[in-house]
Amino acid sequence: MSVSLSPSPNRAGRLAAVLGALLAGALTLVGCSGPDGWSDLGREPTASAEATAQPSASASATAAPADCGDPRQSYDPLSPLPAPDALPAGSTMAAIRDRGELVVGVSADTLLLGARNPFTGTIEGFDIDVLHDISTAIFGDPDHLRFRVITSGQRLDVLTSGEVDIVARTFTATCARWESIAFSATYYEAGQKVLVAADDPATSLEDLAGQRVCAPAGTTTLTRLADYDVEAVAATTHTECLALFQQGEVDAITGDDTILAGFAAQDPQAKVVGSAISAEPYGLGMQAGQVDLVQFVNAVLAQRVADGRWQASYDRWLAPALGAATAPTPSYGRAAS
Amino acid sequence: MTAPASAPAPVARSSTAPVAPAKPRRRFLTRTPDKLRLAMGSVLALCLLIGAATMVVTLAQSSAMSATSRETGQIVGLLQARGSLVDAQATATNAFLVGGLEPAELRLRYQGALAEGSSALTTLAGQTDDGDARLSSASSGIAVYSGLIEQARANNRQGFPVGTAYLNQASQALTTQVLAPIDETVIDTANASANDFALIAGMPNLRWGLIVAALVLIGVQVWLTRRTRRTFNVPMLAGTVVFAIAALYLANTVQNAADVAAATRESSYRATLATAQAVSLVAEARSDEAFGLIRRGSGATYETDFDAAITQARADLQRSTEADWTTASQELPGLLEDWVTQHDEIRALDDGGDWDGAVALATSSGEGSPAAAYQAFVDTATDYVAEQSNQIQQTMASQGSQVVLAGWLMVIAAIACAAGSWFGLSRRLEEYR
Repeated sequence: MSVSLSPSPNRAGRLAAVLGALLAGALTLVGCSGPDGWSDLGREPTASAEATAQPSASASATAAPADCGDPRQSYDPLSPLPAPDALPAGSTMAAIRDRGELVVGVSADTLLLGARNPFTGTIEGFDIDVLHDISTAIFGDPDHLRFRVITSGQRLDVLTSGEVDIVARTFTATCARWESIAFSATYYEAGQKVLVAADDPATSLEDLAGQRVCAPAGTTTLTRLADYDVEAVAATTHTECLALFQQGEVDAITGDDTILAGFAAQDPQAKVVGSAISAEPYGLGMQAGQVDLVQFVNAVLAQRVADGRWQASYDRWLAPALGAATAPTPSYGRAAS
Repeated sequence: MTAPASAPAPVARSSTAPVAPAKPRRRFLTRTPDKLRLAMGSVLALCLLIGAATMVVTLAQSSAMSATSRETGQIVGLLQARGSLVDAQATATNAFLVGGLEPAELRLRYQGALAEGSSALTTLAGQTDDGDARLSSASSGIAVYSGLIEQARANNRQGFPVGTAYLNQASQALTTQVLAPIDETVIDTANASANDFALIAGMPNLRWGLIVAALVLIGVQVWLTRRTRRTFNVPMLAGTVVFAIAALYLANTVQNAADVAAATRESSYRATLATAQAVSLVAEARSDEAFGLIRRGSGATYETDFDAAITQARADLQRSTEADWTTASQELPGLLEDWVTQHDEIRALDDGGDWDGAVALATSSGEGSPAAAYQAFVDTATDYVAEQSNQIQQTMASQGSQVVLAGWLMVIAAIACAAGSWFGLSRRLEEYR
């Protein structure tokens, strides 16, 4: 520095220090610390981890096969079916009647089986008709129903927790499920099929090797996909599978023929192909300990088959898509555990 | 490699050449004129440096105040846009509850809220420094969201339940593609604003530079008095006095601006941010209410989300009240509770099995309805936020202008001081010629 030549380096140094301090004082203020933006907003800094609900194939509610004999086999029906005003004292049905409503777990977006009619706001379908008949048997009126809209994955939980009396939501009776809940006699025999685009040459799951196939989490259909060389994609509900299919996120949907029929009715660019790869005996799910209610429901199911209500309901909802059918033969004789 | 052996040896310089006798070197700063010249140069340089530093500091402070003002507007704008978009979501979901033929009133409200949020984002994207890409991405997300909503509506109008799946997808798209980038931009803008507030708070340190400069000026004059045996160098003294007055005014103005900024940050700034966040949270809670109803008796998850949003909104309003108890934000907690009470009635109906009654109440309009209670809260809060935001911007702009004015006065004073010092010292210097 030039000031080093000065005979009075101390003075010159002091001058430089003074000038430096001026600028330093003025310009080194940026580093002042204090509250940050989080503090001003009254929030704690968090990791910006947005959990994106991308479908994955990890969920499965159905466990390894358990041996329960024939899962279609239910308890003997109550005979004769008591009138609404003569329900056995102390029975589950009497308690429900006293409560004033039958709490039922249903789907609100499975067209033809249980779906909310956007024009009327009511939930209707083949499954719902059964519930109205049970309400009639308990209350003498079909509308003493309190709907709880649930997903496929919630069906077991709402029963084991006692939140609902009956689940009517395309519920396949399996031995694994019999371990925690009880089923009515089979009221419809569905079968697992596959839905593909209208111009897709595939006619079965075997033809979809390496392709993305959607099924709802917590269902037997998703579990069964493990047996095929496909990329299984799980969604929250069947209907979300249809949305993913329409957006090109999945190539096909597998599910019960009843559900797929409802999808085909909503999308003219889709078709249901092949023959059923499984038998899906639908039963109404009930709490494991309420054997009397299961017997009562079985009697109602038998009565509605006998008097033609089953056929009328099937003809209204499913026959146009699935063709003519008759009610399945119920299997009784399960011993109460 | 080695050097060739024939290379000539370097010729040694003769040491017998005559050497000129060393000229006695004149020692620097031994004579008074030299010292006077140094003093004059130093004082001139100091005055000019102070003038330049003052301009840098005052312009920086004014700029930081403008920045906090702008950032306050941006944060409030972002939170209001967020609230509008979530409100649009809640309205679209409520329209689903009513049925396929959605009421025109709800449709218009959805479109209005979406347009409001969308245009606000577009405007803000052009204003923010770092958030452009993110806010542009959020705008694209709105296009995706509204597309999914239209798919949901189209299916719903045809009676297809798949409409509900599209509604769920739309909700997810709004959360991940729109609200997330908005939230990130809000945080970044708040952090930038915090840095600007810190900068403003540090500016009064300029006073130390001014004190040092004044001491140097006084020191030079004391030295001059001793050296020249004249008590005062009038031109230089006059310049120093002008300098000192301007420096006092500047230091006071800068300190005052920093104090006002700090007080504003502690009170109305934080109160405004808290209230704007509460509005956004309440809109989210309303959306949770609508989704809870769609799940018809299974909306426990949404009710949990509702409770969390309302708890946070209450805390925000409490912070707002604590930060700025002098303003009208006192009435907001009551208005919020009015709406939450109506929500509880809706939930009681749904939980009690009267879903139709719950939907009818949730989608009703007119005086005394939940929608009216919600709107009363939102309108009052939005007015408060807008008023406070404007006040903050005016306060900051006013303080910034005063600081710049004081800065210019200081520059003029520094030049005057330099001129006085030059004139006064020149006359002393002439006496040695």
